[in-house]
Amino acid sequence: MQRYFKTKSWLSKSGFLHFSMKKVANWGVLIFTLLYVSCCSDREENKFLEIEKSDKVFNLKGEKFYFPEIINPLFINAVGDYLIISENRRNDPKYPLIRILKKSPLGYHSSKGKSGFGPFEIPDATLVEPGKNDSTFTVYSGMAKTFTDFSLTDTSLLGIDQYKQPEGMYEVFNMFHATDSTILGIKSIDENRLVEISLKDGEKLAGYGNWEKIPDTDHLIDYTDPIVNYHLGEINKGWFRGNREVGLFVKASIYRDRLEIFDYNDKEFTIVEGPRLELPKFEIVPSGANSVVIFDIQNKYGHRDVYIDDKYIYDLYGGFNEEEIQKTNEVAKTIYILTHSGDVVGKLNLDISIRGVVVDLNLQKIYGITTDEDPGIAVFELPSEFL
Amino acid sequence: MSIYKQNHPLVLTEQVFFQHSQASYRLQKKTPPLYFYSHRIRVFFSLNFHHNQNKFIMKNKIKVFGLGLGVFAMSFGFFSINPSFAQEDQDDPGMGEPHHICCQSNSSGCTDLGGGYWPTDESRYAVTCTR
Repeated sequence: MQRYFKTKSWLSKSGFLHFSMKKVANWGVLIFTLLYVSCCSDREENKFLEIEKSDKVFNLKGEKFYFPEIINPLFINAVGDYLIISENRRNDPKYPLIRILKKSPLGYHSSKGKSGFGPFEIPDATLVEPGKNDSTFTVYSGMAKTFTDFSLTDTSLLGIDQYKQPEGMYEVFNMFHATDSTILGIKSIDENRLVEISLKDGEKLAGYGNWEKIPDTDHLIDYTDPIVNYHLGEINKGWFRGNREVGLFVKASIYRDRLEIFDYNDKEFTIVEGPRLELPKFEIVPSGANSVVIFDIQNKYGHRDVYIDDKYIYDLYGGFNEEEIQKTNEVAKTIYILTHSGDVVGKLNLDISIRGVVVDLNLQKIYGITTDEDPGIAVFELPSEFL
Repeated sequence: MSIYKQNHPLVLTEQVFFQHSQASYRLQKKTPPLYFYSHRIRVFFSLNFHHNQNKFIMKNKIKVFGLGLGVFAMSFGFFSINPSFAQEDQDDPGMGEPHHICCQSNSSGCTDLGGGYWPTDESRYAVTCTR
């Protein structure tokens, strides 16, 4: 660039500013490059698509195990050496809501969860987490707003302990214990993504992560609406899972392709977008005195479940819409493996469609609920690269 | 014949206006504003146009500038992802009123404003999600 100034080539013989085509072109390239770098260099790569190009994609062949006790399962969780299967609440109430299987050798263990709203009963088994000791587990019912402890060793369908969430936190509908005296949950309407609430009095102790505006949707979302936080919560809705031991709580959005990884230890979120970066089609329509978010029925579901262990986050991904699921019974056949910091390090293509995922690193197994007419448990070998 | 070599009425009018304005400023002993000099500058520019070589260079400059501007504008189209989520009109003649599944049976459940939660639901068609 110095030569432009030294040779005074800016000036023509008449003393007027003079540009040659070459210089104009050079400056043009320079300005364009600077503009491009300034506007586009901060665009993050799509981590889910990048993994496709790597050698960390594996095709897994699974094996289905059928259990006549399991009728219409929806969720699968793990507590110690057991798989906890949550049945559909629409089943005949005479059937228990929870089936317990031993992982190794895989076999039926017992049933729990008498359906109902009475003492130690549950109307649904929304979330499952390890209990106060190795022989118990805790079930959160989003419908009854109760925590119920069950024993892994007795034969009773009823719980052994039950407590209702305080009225002050009634709007919380998904929650896990963050500590012995606090829960971490999602409220139906709140300025924060997650709230931490005291179990003693139901007071909100802290809120983590504020809802941000969604780009290019100002024509769809009225941010001055008093219930806009409810709308944002619905748009970002998904599966909430936690691992208290490692301090990670993850929400895997079902409508929008987004994973929100919350590290309770440092109280920070890691947001992972993808594989689709665009929002699903939706509209906000009046409903009584309020309004609700309605998604286009043609939208394909995104994340279907997530499991967190000491090493990785296993993200079960769908990609099928309601019509496709009802026609083909295929819900999800892809698992993305992410580090706790949100880097996608692997992709597993499954030959059996599953809903819900659990992984056992020691047994090197992946478990899921099959989605065929007679659902059972699909078992896959975890590739040694991820052990 | 070029328009600049004619006694074009517009040019004449402009020159006369310019001279009169300059004179009025001189009478008032004020410094004329900068735009008064724009006429002289333009004349100075136009002198360079009389040379064929300069004409050729200027034409090419304009071409390069135009081409660069076009490429620059197109590049924004290529590199700026600007997804539009405008809601499609779902009214389809012959298909009746648009209906939505309230709580889609394979979704993660339904939540109302007050925190009421249903983990699953049957395939139920409704206009809105009210219960």
